[in-house]
Amino acid sequence: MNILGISAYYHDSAATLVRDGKIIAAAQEERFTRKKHDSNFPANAVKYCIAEAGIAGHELDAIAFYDKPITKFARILETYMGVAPKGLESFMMALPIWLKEKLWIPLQIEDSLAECGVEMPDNLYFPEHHESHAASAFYPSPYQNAAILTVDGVGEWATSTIGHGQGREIRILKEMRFPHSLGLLYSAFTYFTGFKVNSGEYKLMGLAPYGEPKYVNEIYDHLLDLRDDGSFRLNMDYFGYLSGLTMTNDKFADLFGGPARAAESDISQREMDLARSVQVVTEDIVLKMATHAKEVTGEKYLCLAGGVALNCVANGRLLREGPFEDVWIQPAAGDAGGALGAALIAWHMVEEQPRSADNKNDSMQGSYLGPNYTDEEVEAFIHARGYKARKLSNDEWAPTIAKVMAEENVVGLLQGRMEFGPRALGGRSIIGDARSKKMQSTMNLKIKYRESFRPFAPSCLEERVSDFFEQDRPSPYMLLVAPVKKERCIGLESTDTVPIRDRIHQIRSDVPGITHVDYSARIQTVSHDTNPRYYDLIKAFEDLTGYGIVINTSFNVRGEPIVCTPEDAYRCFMRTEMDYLVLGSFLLSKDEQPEWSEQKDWREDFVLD
Amino acid sequence: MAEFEQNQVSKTTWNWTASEDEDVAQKTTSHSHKKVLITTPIALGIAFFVYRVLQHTTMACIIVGISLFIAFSAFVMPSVYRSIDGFFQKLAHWIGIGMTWLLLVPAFFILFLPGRIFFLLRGKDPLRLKLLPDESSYWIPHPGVTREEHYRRQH
Repeated sequence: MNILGISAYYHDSAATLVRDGKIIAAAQEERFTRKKHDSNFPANAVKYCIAEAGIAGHELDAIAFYDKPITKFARILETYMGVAPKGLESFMMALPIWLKEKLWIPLQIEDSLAECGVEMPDNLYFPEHHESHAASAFYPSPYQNAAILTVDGVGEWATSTIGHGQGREIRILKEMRFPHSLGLLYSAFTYFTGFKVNSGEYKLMGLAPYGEPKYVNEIYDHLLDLRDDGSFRLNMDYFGYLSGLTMTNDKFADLFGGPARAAESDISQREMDLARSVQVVTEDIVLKMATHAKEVTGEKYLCLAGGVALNCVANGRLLREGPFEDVWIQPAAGDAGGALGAALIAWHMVEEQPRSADNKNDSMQGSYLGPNYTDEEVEAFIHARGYKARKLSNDEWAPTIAKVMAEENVVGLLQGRMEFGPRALGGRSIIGDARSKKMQSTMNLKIKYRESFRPFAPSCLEERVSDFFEQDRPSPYMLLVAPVKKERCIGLESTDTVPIRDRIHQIRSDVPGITHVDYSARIQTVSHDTNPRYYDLIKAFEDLTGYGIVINTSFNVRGEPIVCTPEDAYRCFMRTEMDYLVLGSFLLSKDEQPEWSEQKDWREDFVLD
Repeated sequence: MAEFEQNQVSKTTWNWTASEDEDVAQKTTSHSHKKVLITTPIALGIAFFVYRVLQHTTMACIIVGISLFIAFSAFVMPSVYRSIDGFFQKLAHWIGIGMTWLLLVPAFFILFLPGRIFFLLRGKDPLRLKLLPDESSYWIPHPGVTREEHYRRQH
């Protein structure tokens, strides 16, 4: 049975194909259209999923859309009813889009599928938004039974839910409702500190270690009323998103000593302190919610999804201090993952098909669920375009790339299937030597063209994780932050005397490229089972240098979606100061490439995030 | 090198064998041709109506002249056609915005303001905005519906 899952019309639209319970393909539309967070119907992703499954357009058995549009519309109308006569401007922005497309989802899907050459099946399902998140967290997880926590901005009404997964069944037990939302609280601070809502949240998280938690009391005293079980209500006097077009209002600005930071202006200590403060509050709330989920379900394991589940600092703390033996987080925890959850609900809940789990291995296949391009095709492409490349044999591939990395070169890596979710995990990555003292600033300023405070993440051999970090278990999806091992840290003892902001350019460990200013790192562990080539590369690097760890950042520049095809990768390679590019088995050196020119400034193609 | 043939996944996601610029240009041209083949007969029909029913020969001639010029430019002077098309699209956009405000502003106040007043008079809190110091939890029980019918509904 072929089930197509779709998420669309809000942000990060995506499609996924599940066949008899197995995930065959999944991809975000932005990767194909090259438009970050593309919210349009995922026509390209659908076509890809159908092609990857090798089925004809009439062979789909069911479609599952990731939320209930009419309930969402009712929530929007009720909100206006609750705030009128305020809210006119927001109403004028929202209603035309609803009337034009969002109210007619079945027709929209049918028309869009027809354009893709796909026949609409008889079965169309609409799980709730948070059911889709819960399903994306529980069904692919390793656990037979688990508590489920979903936390995001808002779905229909729910903003957070606690659920219980048992075998093939998921039951949502409790929910918190709009406008009281941890995701929206975090987004409000994202907005106030000058970053873009729905894309800049991870920057706020990266900024937090530079600040002090000065405003925690203000947040608790004025912005929310928190209960011991993690539930809360926001004081909406301070927020603008109910009736206006901004997340916060003047009262919020008065509380935090002035107006919101203008985008792209200098970041002051206030923004750093605000980032740290809301991060502390977020972690506290997530911990309390998880503790309550444990009390309610009595389970040993927790599954996590929703946009807030991408807060890997909170995840790390949850793992270390929380009540669960282990936590599994959906790598596509945001709305894109809803497409996967919806399809899996159709299989397990509607079709009542059994599910198997061994409490050890998940079924995400490393999240490598996107397209792959063969060496034959890469060779034909390189030849057709007149690029210079060297084909590496299987034996020389890993040692050769490891050698150029050890010489402090920056390498663009495209190999195997593309990742599903916001993280690059060695399929579409830019990699470098984590020991290098200059690598962080080189990558930020010359390759990614982004803010200099942004940290980079490590990919390390799974069996070496506890050699480098205070962590004893795998983190295959880069969703956990843990401290760098104490004995590797430099200057840790002087952290009380040197202001944290002044430590940005200090060498903090023997792997400075991945050690954040607070001596933490967002870890990806690499296993031979899920990505053998990437594993071999890091192993070769270890053989050469003694370090089974490399810097890994997504293969894109600021504002650009992660590359998908070899052509995207080559373009990004030539536009930046990367030194080498790996396309499958081919190694391309920047020095040998023909001169690159473009008719217009390519930066205009991307809206800064 | 032997002729390379793309597999289905690659054909679907990466059409590198066709020139992108040519592809876009071809699509744009074909789209504009289709558009004038639809709009020109409509404009000529309007001109005929103006001439026969309203008996306004000059206006009918102006409409015919403009529509034929636009059709001609689509086939012979694409850059001129693009400018004309751009102008009409902007005009349509602003007319659309004007119409939207004209219709939706009254709708907003007619639909929502009485409801809001009703809630205020009845002391209702539909958005649960009030803080509840006596409640130990803000969690709300979820009905936990799992029947197939639940998944088939959009609400």
